[in-house]
Amino acid sequence: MPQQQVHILHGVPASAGIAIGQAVVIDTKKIERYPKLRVSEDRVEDELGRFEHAVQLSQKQITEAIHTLEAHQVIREHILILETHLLMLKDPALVDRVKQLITEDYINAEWALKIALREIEEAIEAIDDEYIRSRVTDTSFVGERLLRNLVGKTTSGFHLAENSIVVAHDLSPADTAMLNKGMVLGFATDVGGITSHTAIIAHSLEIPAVVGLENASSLVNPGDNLILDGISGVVIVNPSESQVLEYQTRARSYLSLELKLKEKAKEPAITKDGKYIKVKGNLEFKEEVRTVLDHGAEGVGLYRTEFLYLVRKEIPSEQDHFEAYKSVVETVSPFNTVIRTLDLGGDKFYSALSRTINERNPVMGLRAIRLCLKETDIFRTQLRGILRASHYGNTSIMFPMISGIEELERAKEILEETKKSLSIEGIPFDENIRVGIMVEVPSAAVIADLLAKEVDFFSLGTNDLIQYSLAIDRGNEYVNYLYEPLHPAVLRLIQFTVDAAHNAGIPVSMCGEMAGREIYTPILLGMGIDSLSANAFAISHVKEMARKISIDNCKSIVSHIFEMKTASEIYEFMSREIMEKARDIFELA
Amino acid sequence: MDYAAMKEENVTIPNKLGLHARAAALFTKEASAFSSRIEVIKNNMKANGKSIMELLTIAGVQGSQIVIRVDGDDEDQAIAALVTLVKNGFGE
Repeated sequence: MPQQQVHILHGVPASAGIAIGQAVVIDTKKIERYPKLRVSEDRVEDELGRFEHAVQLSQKQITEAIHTLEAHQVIREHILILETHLLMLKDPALVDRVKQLITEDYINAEWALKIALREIEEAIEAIDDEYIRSRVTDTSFVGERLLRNLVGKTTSGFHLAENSIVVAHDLSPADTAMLNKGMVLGFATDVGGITSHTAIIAHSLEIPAVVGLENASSLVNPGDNLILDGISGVVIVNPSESQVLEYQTRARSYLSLELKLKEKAKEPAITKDGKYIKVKGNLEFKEEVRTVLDHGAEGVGLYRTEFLYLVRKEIPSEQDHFEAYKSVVETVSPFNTVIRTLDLGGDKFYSALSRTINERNPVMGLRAIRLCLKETDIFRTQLRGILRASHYGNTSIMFPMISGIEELERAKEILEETKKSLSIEGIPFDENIRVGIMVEVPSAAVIADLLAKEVDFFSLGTNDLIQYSLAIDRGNEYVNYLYEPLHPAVLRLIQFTVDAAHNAGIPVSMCGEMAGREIYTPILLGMGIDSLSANAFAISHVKEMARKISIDNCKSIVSHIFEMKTASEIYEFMSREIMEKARDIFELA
Repeated sequence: MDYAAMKEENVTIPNKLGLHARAAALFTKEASAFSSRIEVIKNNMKANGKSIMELLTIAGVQGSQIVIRVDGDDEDQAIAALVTLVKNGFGE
């Protein structure tokens, strides 16, 4: 056997952990070529049988995917899409038509399938309703799966052996869910970022993933030995024996560290010089609240409310809001829950209502608080829901996307009016409910001194603050290398915001992604941030980091990095610094 | 279809999104539970009520009039169930 080439691929670490196994390369690119054949009369039965088999196999794959998704409580929407696909696979318009074409025109199953699909797609595309027309993607998804199963492309891919590491160009939620969890050790994909479906599903399955590897699916051959390091984002193809040994050791120490951190997760984080750092959790769905608390969250620093608007076709009622918030604040109390008012883009919001709005640049358009101040009835309904829930537990309100004083004043005015009407109606609520804002628009950070006088707290939303202040779209592959949390401009905006808040005597929290990455923890604490709010999985790591450092030391780190000129210089310094402070957390990175 | 024995009823599609994928999926599931032949007719278009794809292609947007036509042993139960489903806006 020839010596196999060792390749080291670098990507984006999307789900932590280390896997060592064999590559299973799944070809998720569209099938362009398939056989088009005329068949003789005596082969018709064979073709019908092949088609029947492909239908059954597809049904089985989708059914298994649904079960996997259900078992892992993945967003209901994904399951509904798959259920629709299942119905399409049983659809006489497709199935009977394909059989008819095979029988009457004497053509092979692939060809017949293509013809039948094209007929259906043409009929759907002719529809005069954009929403219904958009469902044509579902039929092509189903068609693609059938075709794959017919030409036998998927069978090898989805029949996984033990210790498989799945390598693909991209994985849809259905693809990912179709993989048997017990067999799959990790995912590696060419495209995607830390918020891609692959990353989210890998997280929920608690297996490592590296995404954004660019050309892994063409470089890696099926059966290649792989090391997948979801902590540093490295994939080693055909590693040497010594590399395998090294990573086996790393994998073991990673697992024991995870276990250790989990045990300590519920203990408070107290720095070496005795400062208690509150670490809270971010929440998207009310069902996640137990997970967040189990991972050691001391409160919820960000409860996103967008799901209420996205899961139904009507505007959520006051009761919908109230029930969702009440169940969370009751569970989290006596800790505090910060409920953020609607932070949707106008595009998503109106399309859920079957209305359209034309915006050239929705990210900078009518969204979040701007939308709420335009659609004040919807805003009032949400505020009533939050206020009513505040009677049942420790609650705060937070307004997103504030860019200037007028917006804040208007939002507070509407809040006061809402409180007044609840009082008149005799409905109980917390009259001293605390009101804060997200500082995520650069203009808000720059006038933080003015805004601080008007609110009870600030929460730094770093994802948007970084995007807006560096003028880069994170989802744009051509410029996303410029997304640098440690950019001196970003650090200065954060420092200014923190100082302004403290001068006004209010606390500052951070709920962006930066808050959940322990490499930033010393900087954030050194800049004076009072509490951090992170995703469930990051809480124990951030706490452990805080325990290993002293605020004094963090302050000198900050004054040192404020003299540096570039993000990469700061990053290198921090990596060295962290290695000394918290070797056991970082020796794997 | 035996046009003499069948049952049919006119209904208006009440929900905002119309007979879109999820609504069509619900209709298909419900229809498939019955042995009767089921057709949905809009203007001059006719769809098999047990085919989600055909249902999508008749473009049943909000406010459109459709005829549900049922023929078979369980036609009474089938038409009652399907008319109720549509009238309730597919539970949306």
